[in-house]
Amino acid sequence: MKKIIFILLSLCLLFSCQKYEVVMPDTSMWNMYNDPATLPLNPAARAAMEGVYSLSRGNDVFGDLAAVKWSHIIQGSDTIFHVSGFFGKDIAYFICEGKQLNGAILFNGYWRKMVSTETGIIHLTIGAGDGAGLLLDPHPVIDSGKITINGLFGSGQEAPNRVITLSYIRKLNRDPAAFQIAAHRSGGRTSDLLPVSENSVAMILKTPEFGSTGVEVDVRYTKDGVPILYHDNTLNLREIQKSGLVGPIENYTYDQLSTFVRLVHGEKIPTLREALDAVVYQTQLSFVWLDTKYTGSIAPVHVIQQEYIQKAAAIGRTVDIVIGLPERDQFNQFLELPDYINTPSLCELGVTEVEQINANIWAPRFTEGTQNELVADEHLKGRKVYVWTIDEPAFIASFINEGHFDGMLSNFPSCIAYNYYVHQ
Amino acid sequence: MCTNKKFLWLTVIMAVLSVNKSFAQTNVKIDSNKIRKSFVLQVGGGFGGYTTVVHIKPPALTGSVNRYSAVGTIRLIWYPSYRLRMGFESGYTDFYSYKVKNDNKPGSVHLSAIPLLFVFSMQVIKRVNIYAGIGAYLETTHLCLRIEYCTIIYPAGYR
Repeated sequence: MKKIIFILLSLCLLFSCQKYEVVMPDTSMWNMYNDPATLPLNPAARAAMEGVYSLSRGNDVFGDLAAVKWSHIIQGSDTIFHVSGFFGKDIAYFICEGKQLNGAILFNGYWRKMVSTETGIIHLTIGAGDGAGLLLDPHPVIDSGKITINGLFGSGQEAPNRVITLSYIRKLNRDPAAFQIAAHRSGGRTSDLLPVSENSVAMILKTPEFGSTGVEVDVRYTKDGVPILYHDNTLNLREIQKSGLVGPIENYTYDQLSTFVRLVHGEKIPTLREALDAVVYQTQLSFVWLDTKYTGSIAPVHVIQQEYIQKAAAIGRTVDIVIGLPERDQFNQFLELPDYINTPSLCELGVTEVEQINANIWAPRFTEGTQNELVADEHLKGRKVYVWTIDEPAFIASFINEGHFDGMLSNFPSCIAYNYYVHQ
Repeated sequence: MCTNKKFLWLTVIMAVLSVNKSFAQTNVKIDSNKIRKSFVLQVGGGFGGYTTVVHIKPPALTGSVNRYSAVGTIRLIWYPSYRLRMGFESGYTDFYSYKVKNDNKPGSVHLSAIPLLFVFSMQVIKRVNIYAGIGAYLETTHLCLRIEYCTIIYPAGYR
């Protein structure tokens, strides 16, 4: 009897595991959107429809307001545009592609809540009389109430069947370039059940859809000294697929990692060069925080940093690539760079250290509070101040509404985007 | 946590494999009332399988993942005057191995482990004992990538 009980208990334990996952809905089934007569939207229409919208239907699921914003990436010779809607409830958002058809504007995509695994398909339409006519004008002028977006959304793979209605209220608040929405781990965490892996090139290309204007990436060295993106101390199943390789990532050469290891969603562990290539040449991201996860010389990373600042400038872009200094060890290594005083850096230590190395950015931890007086002092010295890492929506709102920061780091950039763009 | 499945499966397999015929063969009395405050050293071996699903997907995997190998175990158990026994277990096991070929570069990996377990044992019926343990597996990656790297061994992490 005891043996049977033991075996039953063992079986219960074995089968009690519940794997949480978000199955990305198939958004290819909307016949109207797939109509061959659809045309791409023009840039003026995309820019004009960005703004703050109120929700009159669907607000029980998404909240009362939405910030709607476009982003794009470059893939080969193509430019791929997405429109994102950031909501105030449960860190919800939608991400859609857009087209025009017979004078109407269609948006097809999915919605997701970051506080849960809830997701589904969303179809949105701006009818010709609901503002599409204005938006498709070569020089659209949009006022409050001039655009109404109607649509349906569903749960999971089911056909959309619940109504959502958004009405344009006003432009997005503030100059989007004035505040850095920085996404953690190159755009988001694998543990948040995103469709791509953290610290991957795919995530860098995905994160603009979440509203990010910059990224923080975690830099480590391989055994043969190649700077790569990887967060944890060791190879583990939180970040990679099962490979048989265990232990510190610094034990392996880049060749070995490239041959045997894949991130959770199948991507290769990228080199820092591959990551910066994606940022500079494929996105409009304007800020990269190279978080120093290694101990040892910063010189190899410094060389790459300088190279990509120049590459960005050569194509007419300004990308602030800064070396992050989280602790005293890295700070001391930074002091060994011959021109550290002119090297763009972000320092998480106190203002004394920040001023000692002439850091471009001071990055205090959010638990220190808004520190408005210190922030104002650093502003007077020409320095920016970014706060990290805030994931709680109430704190994000509070720091945006009450603080004077120039940027914020979060695993939920869509939550920052909502609060920043909606804030008056 | 699902990653504990491996540990749980190994525990179950260990328990089943540990239906210890050696007691009968060596005339050790298994009536706990007659065995008092003694230590017993058990040495075992066999053929084991890594039962957790292995989704190894390097780009140039050749063949399949080998999940079966020889297993050796050594266990020191204290037999007190009561029914629950306890002790320490170690040994050696290969979890799995596979080969790749990428750009004409042959490579292989095998993952082995040395268990360091605090084990409990109890007789459930005559000559049948169940064992359960808790502890760590010291894992080691043996990685070969091209001939010149084939002797490299990485002492690694633990589970």
